[in-house]
Amino acid sequence: MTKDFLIDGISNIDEDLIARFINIDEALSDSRVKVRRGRRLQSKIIAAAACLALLVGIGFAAVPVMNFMGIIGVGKATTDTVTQEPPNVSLGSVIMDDDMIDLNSDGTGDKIEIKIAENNATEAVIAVIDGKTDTEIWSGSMPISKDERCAYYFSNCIDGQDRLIFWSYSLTDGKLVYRCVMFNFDENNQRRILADTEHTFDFSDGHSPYEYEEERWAMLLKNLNKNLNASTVKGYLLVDNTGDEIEVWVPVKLMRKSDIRYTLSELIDKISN
Amino acid sequence: MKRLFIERRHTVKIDKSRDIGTPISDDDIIELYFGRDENAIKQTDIKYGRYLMNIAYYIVHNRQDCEECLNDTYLGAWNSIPPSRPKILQAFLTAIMRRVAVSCYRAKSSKKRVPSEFIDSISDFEDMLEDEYDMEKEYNAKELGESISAFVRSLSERQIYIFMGRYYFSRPIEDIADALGVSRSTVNKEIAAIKTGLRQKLESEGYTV
Repeated sequence: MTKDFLIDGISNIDEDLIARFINIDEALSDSRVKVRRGRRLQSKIIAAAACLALLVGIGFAAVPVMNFMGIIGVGKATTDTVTQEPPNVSLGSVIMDDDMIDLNSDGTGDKIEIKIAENNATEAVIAVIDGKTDTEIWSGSMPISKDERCAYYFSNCIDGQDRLIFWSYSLTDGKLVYRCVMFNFDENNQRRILADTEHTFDFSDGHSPYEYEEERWAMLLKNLNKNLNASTVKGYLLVDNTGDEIEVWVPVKLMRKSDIRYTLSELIDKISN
Repeated sequence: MKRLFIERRHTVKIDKSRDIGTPISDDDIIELYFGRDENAIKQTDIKYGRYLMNIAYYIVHNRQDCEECLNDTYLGAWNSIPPSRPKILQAFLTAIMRRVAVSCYRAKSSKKRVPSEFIDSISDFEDMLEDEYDMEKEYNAKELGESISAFVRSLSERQIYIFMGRYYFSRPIEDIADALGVSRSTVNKEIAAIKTGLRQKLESEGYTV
């Protein structure tokens, strides 16, 4: 095949594929600024998650490898610190302190802390600490058992308000149950649930529960979006080290079902960059 | 600066007012073409002029050539609509612009070496290409286009973005990596996988690659 022939062949690619590219490109452009701004956050949060996983890993050296989910962050720069509390108090914790994560919209950045209490813990504690008063305004748990995974993430939604999303799923009887709770805080630091949905996916057809097909995500998040009065979650990032590889998902436009998946090596690329 | 659109029988002048114009819908633009209203060109320019210039630039890398390509693209659209009624006007114009820009590049590069992202991208396929043109071996380009299209359709959204971005729109790898939020090496790895798949597809259909 000659170069000219190949060039002409490519020139004859169907217009529907051109249109598809244009759609993807537009969707990426919509999120590009946000993703760019979020890159630093993502790397740091992933690093923080890795640190936590390390802490957890050290603690769990003598027990079967636990499943642990990571964290998501989209949209903002952050600074984070890792603190190691005394072993008898806590196995370890990660604090994310970001001037720009303002969950109660009081103009002061808030902190998120994840804490693993003991070696055989079945849950991690997530605390939201008000940046102004330095007091805990909410805490919740994140299961970390063998058959469950969970994650939480921030999503800087289309209306500009930060939201904390607690996401978990459990695997029983070949079914995968996802639960998404999306919330922020009002001016009195009262938690305001924006969406709380549960979705069951049946894997009795032989599919692996670890095949995160974009349709499933789209269905779930579409449901969330519906509950949010059509607000659109602009993107999320999910880190998962429970399987053979870590995957990060950034759906650039959920309603279009376009997901981007990163493999472990790509994730490492992202962190190292 | 005024831009000239030259049609065989008359001339349409396009000025920079596209920068301040409000785009109308694609359907309305197409209706203007069908009504043989020269405002169709102006409206196309308002809505897609910059986008089309951008496509041309990655191929010809010369602003003046881009302007010429743009005029030729509008001429192509004017001559094609009607009878064609594009389903997606932007994709229709893109296809015309790419062909025009490739022709322009060929004409310029036959006289001298012209640096271009377009030719850099095609060089990725160097190991699949022959120097000699063998008419008997070559199917027509339309058939090849159909085969490539079928292959591209089988790819994931992300791979479609990479393939089309790199080989149809001749975008630099770093731009694609930036858009996807991944490193260059990641895009290169994807390209290698896509190339392998494309080679297998084309070989299975009797192409010599």
